[in-house]
Amino acid sequence: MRRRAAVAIALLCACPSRALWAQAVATQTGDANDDEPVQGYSPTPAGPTVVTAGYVDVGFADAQGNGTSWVPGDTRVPNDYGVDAFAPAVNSRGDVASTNANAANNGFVPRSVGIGGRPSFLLNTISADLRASNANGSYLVFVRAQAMPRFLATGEQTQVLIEQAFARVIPFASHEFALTIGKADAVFGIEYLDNQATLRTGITPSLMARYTTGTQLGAKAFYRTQLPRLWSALSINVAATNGPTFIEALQTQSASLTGRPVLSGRAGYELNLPRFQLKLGVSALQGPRNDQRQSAKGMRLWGADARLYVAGLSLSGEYVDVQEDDGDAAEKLTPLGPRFWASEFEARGFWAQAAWSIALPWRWLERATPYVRLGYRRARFEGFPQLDVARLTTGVRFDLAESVVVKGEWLFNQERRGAPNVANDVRAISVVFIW
Amino acid sequence: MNLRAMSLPLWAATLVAMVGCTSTNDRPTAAWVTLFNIKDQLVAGSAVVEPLGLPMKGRYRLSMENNLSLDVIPAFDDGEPAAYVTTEYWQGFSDVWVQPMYVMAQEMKGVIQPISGALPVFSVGADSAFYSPYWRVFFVVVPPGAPTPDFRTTRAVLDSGYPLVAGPGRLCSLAPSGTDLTGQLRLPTPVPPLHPLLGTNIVGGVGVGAGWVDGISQPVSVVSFGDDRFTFAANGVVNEDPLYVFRHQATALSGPKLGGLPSVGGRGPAAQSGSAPNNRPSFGSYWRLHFVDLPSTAGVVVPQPSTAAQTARIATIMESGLTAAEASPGVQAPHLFFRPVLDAAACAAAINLAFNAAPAQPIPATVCRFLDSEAHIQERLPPAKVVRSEITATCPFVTYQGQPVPLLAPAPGAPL
Repeated sequence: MRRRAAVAIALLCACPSRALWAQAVATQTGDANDDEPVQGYSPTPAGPTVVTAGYVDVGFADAQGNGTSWVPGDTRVPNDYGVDAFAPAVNSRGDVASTNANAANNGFVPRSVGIGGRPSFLLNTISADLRASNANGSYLVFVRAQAMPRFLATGEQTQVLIEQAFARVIPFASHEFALTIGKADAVFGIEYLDNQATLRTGITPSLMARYTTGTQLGAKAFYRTQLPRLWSALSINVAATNGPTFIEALQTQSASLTGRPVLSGRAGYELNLPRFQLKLGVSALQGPRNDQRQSAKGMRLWGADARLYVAGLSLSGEYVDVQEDDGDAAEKLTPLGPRFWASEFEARGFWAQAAWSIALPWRWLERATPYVRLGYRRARFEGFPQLDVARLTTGVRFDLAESVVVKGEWLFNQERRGAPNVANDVRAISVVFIW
Repeated sequence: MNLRAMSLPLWAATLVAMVGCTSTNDRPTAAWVTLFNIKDQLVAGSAVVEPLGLPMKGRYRLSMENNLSLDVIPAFDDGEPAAYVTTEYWQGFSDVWVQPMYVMAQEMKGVIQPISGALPVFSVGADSAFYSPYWRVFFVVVPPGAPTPDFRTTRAVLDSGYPLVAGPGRLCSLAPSGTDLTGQLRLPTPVPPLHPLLGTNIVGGVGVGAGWVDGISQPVSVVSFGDDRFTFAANGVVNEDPLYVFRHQATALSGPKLGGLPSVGGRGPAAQSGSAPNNRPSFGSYWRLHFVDLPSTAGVVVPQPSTAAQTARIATIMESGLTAAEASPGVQAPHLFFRPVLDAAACAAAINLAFNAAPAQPIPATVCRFLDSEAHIQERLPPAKVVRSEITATCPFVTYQGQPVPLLAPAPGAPL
């Protein structure tokens, strides 16, 4: 069932009834996907269940140039304000081929796999899930631990990350209402739904994923009401968390540095016709930026998303706008270590993706999904030039047999304004073994 | 409050309120102040440089044309008269970095020559916390026969693929249009102002030009102090030196108050003592302010004021609670006037006595315990009287060792 859910969200059940809700929640994959809580009907288990699952994402990547977005001779300080360090992504986590370790950055850099411009095999992610639930599925505990082995300038390093750890309670069997406490997926936008390599159609995340796909520690609530006569549903998902929806390399979730929560939410509408589905949403986030200690220094995000599924064709897209206030203390506290200054920042951008899921008649090759995604990002740190970057991503995904996904992707980056032109395109392969 | 009776929304609101009240702001407010901020504050009528609280008076003014004017500030360094202007402040910053600036150049017979008329490109604007007036010059070497480039951004420079040759450090402050030294005349050859206390022509000039700033569509004015006016570490952090600023120590009625005495330059760990080729010190442009607390008896010996600047300075000193002891008429000892001293009245009496004797007698050093050098301050004051502040500043010398600091053009034909 996990594999089917990963192939195409379009195949998810249409217009689930409230009766199905309670049954289905007991059999979820545990990906904390509140927006898609019902992933198909299965009989209710007879008793409490403990399930382990996971995957291994083995990759191969070949980045142009030196594997970074920096050009020789660029000695600006910090070195991450004048380029898009996230451009040469190589895997579903958004890790890049390399970063510039020769000059001081200010903590706006992704994780690196440290391969530079040399093609290399990679163990992108080793992911293990533990899920325990009671008999009727009203209570669930879920933990996802991930390991990312890397060889960096400082030597062999394996980052072990508790990606998710939460408990979820569904207090009413007759209502699609769930409360989640712990570290879980964000509630902003839609790209977090594809965080894991098993679920993402392609390999790499979008240019805006850095702002919206981090997991969050706190509490959240999801509610959805069906409108059967209209084949529609309305949903709302809200959260109060330590930090924003930024990825873990940018702002921490492990502690609230200001003592004030970050509030976020998404309101959604679904039209679920038998052969046609349309999902629309608007999201917002407001709260203190969690990379400094001043609670008055805030950040604001808003976004809009849309998904359309018809006849195997999936069209999806998202617009995101980000604003961060200037700090007033000479410190920036990032997961990569302390940095100098929490600069005023603004960014906006979008991505749009088309994927066509083609069912194949062979048992060993069940489905092929070619896809293409276009993204654009405009961002500026105060006092530095505005950067406009674009990205075209295209590739194909094959779902083999029961538990193997093979993906190949070409990622073309273009610095359109502000950032120096640099050869930082990437070719990547990802083979995901699911267990 | 009946907790059991609270509704779920009320519980949630209470929780959020409790969480929200636990915020602690225990870090000092950090800020950087540029000439743009200072002009804006002056135009708004502020009497102090916000948020530092340092007085505008004696440092900045608006000209008749509403342009920003930098006052020459008297000082001493190693016992000799000096003077400086202040262009930037930082509060709460541990480090300031050099940033790259790009100067268009051509190579002629193995020598890199800047291209006249081509504006330089500054990589960081003044509204960034990473802005600093401490630039590392990179010459963009245009190939022979290629047209003079009109590069306006770092991207354009780097995309050109032209060789970049590292040059000297250059001290250039981005500034509002029209900014200049107070009293500097813009003739074919600039005539710098006189020293504000000594009234002599020992003040060097500054260069005024323009350049492109990354991300700004119009050229930005620049006040330049030339090359090799600061040093920096391998990681790009600018080396700092201590600047001793005197103030009247706190009393039961008031906190410490800036005294208006000439400041004293010191040497940081990286400064090479006496490294001032052609009277252009390679240290002392990036200072950390050290406040020196003095008792009411400390101050200066002053002549009968003959200029408005002297009159204003004496008034400032006396308003602070320090002493401005006037020497007898006829005492011709300009080298002793306005020199910080521990017991100003006693020193003035000793000076009067010595100069009125026939023949004139030497000034007893045990009476006139001057605080005109870092060594004297450290020797004559307990360490507790010197307070290292969180404020650093760009204060390049325009007078050093009693002589003008010349503004040497970086190279013949250079735009700045």
